[in-house]
Amino acid sequence: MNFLPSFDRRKSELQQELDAHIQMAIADRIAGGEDPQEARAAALREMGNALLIADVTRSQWGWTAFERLIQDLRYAVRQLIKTPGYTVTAILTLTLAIGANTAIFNMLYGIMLRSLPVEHPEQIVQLKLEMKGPSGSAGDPSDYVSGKTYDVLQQHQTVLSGMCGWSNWPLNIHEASGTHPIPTAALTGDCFRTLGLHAALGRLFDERDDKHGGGSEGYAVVLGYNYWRTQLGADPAILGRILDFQDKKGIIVGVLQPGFESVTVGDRPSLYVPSEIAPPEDRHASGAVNRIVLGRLKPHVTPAQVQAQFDPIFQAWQKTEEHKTQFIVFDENGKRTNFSEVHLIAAPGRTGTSYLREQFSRPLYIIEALVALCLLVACAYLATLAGTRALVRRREIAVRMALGASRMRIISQLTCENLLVSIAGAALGLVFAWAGGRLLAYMITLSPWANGAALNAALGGPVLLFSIAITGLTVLLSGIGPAWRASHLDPICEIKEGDLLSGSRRHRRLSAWLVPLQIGISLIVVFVAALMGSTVYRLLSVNPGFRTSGVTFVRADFSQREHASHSQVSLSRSLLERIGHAPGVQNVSIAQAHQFSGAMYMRSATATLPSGEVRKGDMVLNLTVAPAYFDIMGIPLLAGRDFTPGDKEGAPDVCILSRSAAQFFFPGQNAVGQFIDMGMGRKKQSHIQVIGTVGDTLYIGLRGNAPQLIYQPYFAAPWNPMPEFVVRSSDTAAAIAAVRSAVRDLAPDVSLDEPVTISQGIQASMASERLVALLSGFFAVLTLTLTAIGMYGLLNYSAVRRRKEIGVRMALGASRRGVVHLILREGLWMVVPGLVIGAAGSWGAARYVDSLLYEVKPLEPSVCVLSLVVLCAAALLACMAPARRAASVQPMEALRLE
Amino acid sequence: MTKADIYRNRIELLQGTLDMLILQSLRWGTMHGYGIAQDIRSRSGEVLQVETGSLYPALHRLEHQKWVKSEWKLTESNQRAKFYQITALGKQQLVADHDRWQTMVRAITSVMAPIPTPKEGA
Repeated sequence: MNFLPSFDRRKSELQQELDAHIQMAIADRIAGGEDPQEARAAALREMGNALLIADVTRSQWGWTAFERLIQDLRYAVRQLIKTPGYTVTAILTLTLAIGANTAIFNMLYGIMLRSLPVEHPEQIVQLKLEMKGPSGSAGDPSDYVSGKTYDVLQQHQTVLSGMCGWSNWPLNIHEASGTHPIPTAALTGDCFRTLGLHAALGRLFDERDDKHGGGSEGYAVVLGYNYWRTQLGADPAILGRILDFQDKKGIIVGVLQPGFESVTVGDRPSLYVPSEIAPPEDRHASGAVNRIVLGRLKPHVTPAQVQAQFDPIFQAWQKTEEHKTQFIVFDENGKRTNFSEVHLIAAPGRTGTSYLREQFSRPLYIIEALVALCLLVACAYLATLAGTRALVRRREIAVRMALGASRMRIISQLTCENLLVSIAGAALGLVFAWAGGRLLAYMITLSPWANGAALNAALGGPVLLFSIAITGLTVLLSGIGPAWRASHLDPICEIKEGDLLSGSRRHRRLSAWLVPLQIGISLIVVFVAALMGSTVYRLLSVNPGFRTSGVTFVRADFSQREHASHSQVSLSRSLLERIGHAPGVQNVSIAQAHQFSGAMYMRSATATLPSGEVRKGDMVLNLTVAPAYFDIMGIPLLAGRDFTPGDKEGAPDVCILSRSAAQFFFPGQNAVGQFIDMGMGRKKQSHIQVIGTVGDTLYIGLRGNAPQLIYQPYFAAPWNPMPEFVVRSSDTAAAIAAVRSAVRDLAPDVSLDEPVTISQGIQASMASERLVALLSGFFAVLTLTLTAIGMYGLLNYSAVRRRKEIGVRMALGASRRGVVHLILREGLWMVVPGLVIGAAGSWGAARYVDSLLYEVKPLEPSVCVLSLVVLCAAALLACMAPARRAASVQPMEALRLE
Repeated sequence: MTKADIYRNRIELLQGTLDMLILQSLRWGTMHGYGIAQDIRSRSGEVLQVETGSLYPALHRLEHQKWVKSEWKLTESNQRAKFYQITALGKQQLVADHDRWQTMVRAITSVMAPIPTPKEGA
C-alpha cells in the first residue's frame, strides 16, 4: 500500500545515498590497493547497520509518528480483513447509530438552532405578544402582531436601527397556462435593509417602493433565488417583466441573494412583495394579527431596553383603541382561553420563527435522547466485541510486549482498528443520515402546520462537526477502554500459561457492567416505543365522527369575483353540477373549511328557552356547508332534515346543530324547530330556526372532546370567496381531475389549491406522535438486537471457555438441564441489574414523554409488562443457543482436549 | 528500539560539534556525504572518524533546518551521489557556531592551562 508517494521516494533516495557512500568507500579502498572482496567487507563493517542508520536518519525528518501510524493502520486493515464478520457487524452498527444521530441532530439543528442567514443574526430581536389571563400567562408568546401595532411601534421607537414586518400573503398569479396561487411574502419596505440582505440580480425594494398602489408599473417584486433558478431557468433578462396578480400588477426588480428564504424556518416564498400590496384593512388593521415583526438592535442596546420602550408604547396605544382586540387562544384540545392582559416583549430573534418548533421541539428532543442512548448501546456492544477480540489475541499481545513493544504502542494498535471501523461507520452513517434526513423532513412537513414548508435536509458544517464529535466519542468509548485493559497483562505469565482460562475473571468484570447497561438502555427505548405505539394505536382508533377515507377537499379562490356575488351562486351550482356528474365522483358539496386544517370560524350564539332561560355560547364553531355535506362526510343526521337548494339568500334563516351544541342550547329538549340568535353588533342574525341535528365530530384535532358546532347553509351565508369542494369519490385522482376540469372550463380565473384527502388530514393531525412512535420503534428494534447479539456473544464465549469445567461437572453427574441452568443463571446475572437500571430510566423517560401521550398513563401497567416481556424474551433468546451448546458438551471429549 | 536509542545518544553527544564540522567542510564547495567524512578525517589528521550512523542523520537534520541544500550529481568516477551545499543561512550558523566554539576553547584552555606536568615516578 502506498500511503504517501513522496515519503516512499525520499526513503528510496536515502537508500541510494547510503549505497553511493558504500560504493565510494569500496572504490577508495581498492584504489588504496586492497583486495575487492576485503574492501567490500571492510567498508560494510565500517558503515555498521545500514537499515538502522536509515531509520535514525529518517527520524530526523520528524515523520516517525506518522510512519508508525501507517504501520498501525496497515496492521489494523490486515486484522479487519481477516475477520470480515466482525468488521461488517461493527461497521453496520456504527452506520446506523452515527447515521441516526446525525440525521436527528440535523433536523433538530435546522428547526431549533440554526441562525437566520442574515448579517449579524445576534443583533436581531423579535417582537412578540405575551398573553396573560386570570390563570397566569398562556404558554409561548405569540409570534404574530398586527400591522397596526407595527405602524405604532415603528413611529415611536428609537432603540432599533431598523424594523421588519413580515407576513405571508398568498397571491394568485395569472399566466397563459391559467391562474395559480404562488407562495409570497409581503415585507415592509425597510425589511431587506434591516436584515442586511443583498440582491443577486437587479435591486431589492425599499421604503420608497412600499406605498399603496405601488409604482407606475405596479408593485416592485423581488424573486426568491431558488424560484428564479428552478422555475425561471436563472434568466437574467427577467428584470422588468410584468406579473399579473389579477387586480394588481407587479414588476420584477431583482432577485434575492441565495441562501436566505424566509424568517420562518421551512417557508420558501417564491416572491417578495411590498407590504402595501395588501388592502389597507389588512395592512393597517389592528385586528389582523398576521405579521412577524423583527428589528435590528442599535449598538449597545439590549433586548430588555427594547422591551422597556416598546411595551409602554403598546399599552398606551391599546388604551386609545376604540375596538379593543380580544385575544383568544385555543389549545390542541379545543380549550379556549380569553386573555385580558397582553404585553409586548422583545426576544432574541437569531433563529427566526417556526411553527414547527412548538410542535416538534419535544418530539425531536425525545428522539435525539433515544438515538443518543442507541449510540451508547452500540458503543457498549462494540466495546464488548473489542474486549472479546483482544482477549482472544492475548497471546499475540503478550509476545509483542515480550519483544519490547511499549504499552502505548499496543493500545494505539488496538485502537487503530476501532478508529478505522468508526471512520467507515461514520462515512456510511453520513450517507444514511442524508437519506434518513429526507424521510424525516418529509414526515415533519406532513404536519398540518407545516403547510408547504420545505425543510432543508442538507447536512451543514455544524452537523458534520457533531458527527465527527460523536465518532470520536465512539472511538473513545468502544476502543480505548478495552485496548487499555487488554494491554494490561503480564507477558511472562501469559505466555507460560497460554490458556484462555487465565483471562476469565477480568473478562467477567468487563461484561459485568456493559451488558446490564445495554439491557437497561434497551428497556428504556422499548418502553418509550411501547408508550408511543399505544398512543398512536389509540389515536387511530378514535372515532372522529366522520368518514376517514374516500373524501377529497380542494380549496378554490373566488376572491377575484367578490363583488358579483349573485352570479357566484349560479357559478357554484353549475360547478357542483359538473363535478357531480364527472366519472368516478359519487357526490360533491361545498364547505367553508375542513376538520383538522387549523381554520376555525367562531361566532357567539344564544338560545332563549320556552322557560325564559337564556343559554349563551360565547364562541361557538361555525361552518357553512352546501347540501349533501353530511352524507358525503358520513356524519349521521340525528333528527330533522339536511339543507336543501332552497335554503338560500332570501329564504328563512336555518341552521343545523351538532349533538353537543343541541344539548348545550336546548338541554333535555328537542332542538329541531327551536330558534337561536347568532353574532353581535352589525352582523347579528336573529331568529335562526334549527332544522336538524347531526352527530358530533372532532374538529381541532384527535385529542379532546368534540366541540359544539353550528352548521349554516352555504348559499344563504354572506359570500365566502375561498370555499372548499368536498368530493366523495372512489379514488382521489378522479376527484381532483373532476374539480380541475370543471373549474378550467367554467371559471378559468379561479385558482385551486393543492388537494387534501381526508385521510391525509387525519394522518397529519397525529404527525408528531406518529414520528416519535415510528422512530422509537425503529430504535427499540435496533438496541434490542444489538443487546441480544452482545449478550449472545458473551454467553457463547463463556460456554466455550467453560467447556472443561462443564465437562468435569457432567462427568461428575451433572444433568444437561443443570448445565442449561448454569448458563441461564449467568445470563440472569446480567438481566436483573439491567432491568433495575432500565426501570429507573423508564420512570424518568415516562415523565418526559407524558405530554405526547393519549389515553395512556405514563406508567400504564400493560405497557410496563409488555416492555418487560419483550426484553426478557429477547434475553432468553440470546441465552438459548449458548445454553444448548454448553449442554451438548461431551464430557469425554472436553476432558481429552486438555 | 533500544539500539536506536544508543545511536541517538551518540549523535546528541556530537551534535553541536559535528554540525559545525560539516558546515565548515562545506564552506569550500559542494560535497557528498562520503567526501565530507573523508575531509574531516584528513584535516583532523585521521583523529576524527565521523561514523556513518552519525553523519547522515546530521546531514538530514541540517537540510531540514535549511542550513544546507542538496542535489543529485555524478562524481568524477561517474558515481551518482547526493551533493550537499551550504546555504546563506548555514553560513550565518557557521559563524555563530565558530564564535561559540572559540569562546568555549578559550574558556576550557584557561581552566586547563596551569596544570603542572606531573613528575615521572611521583
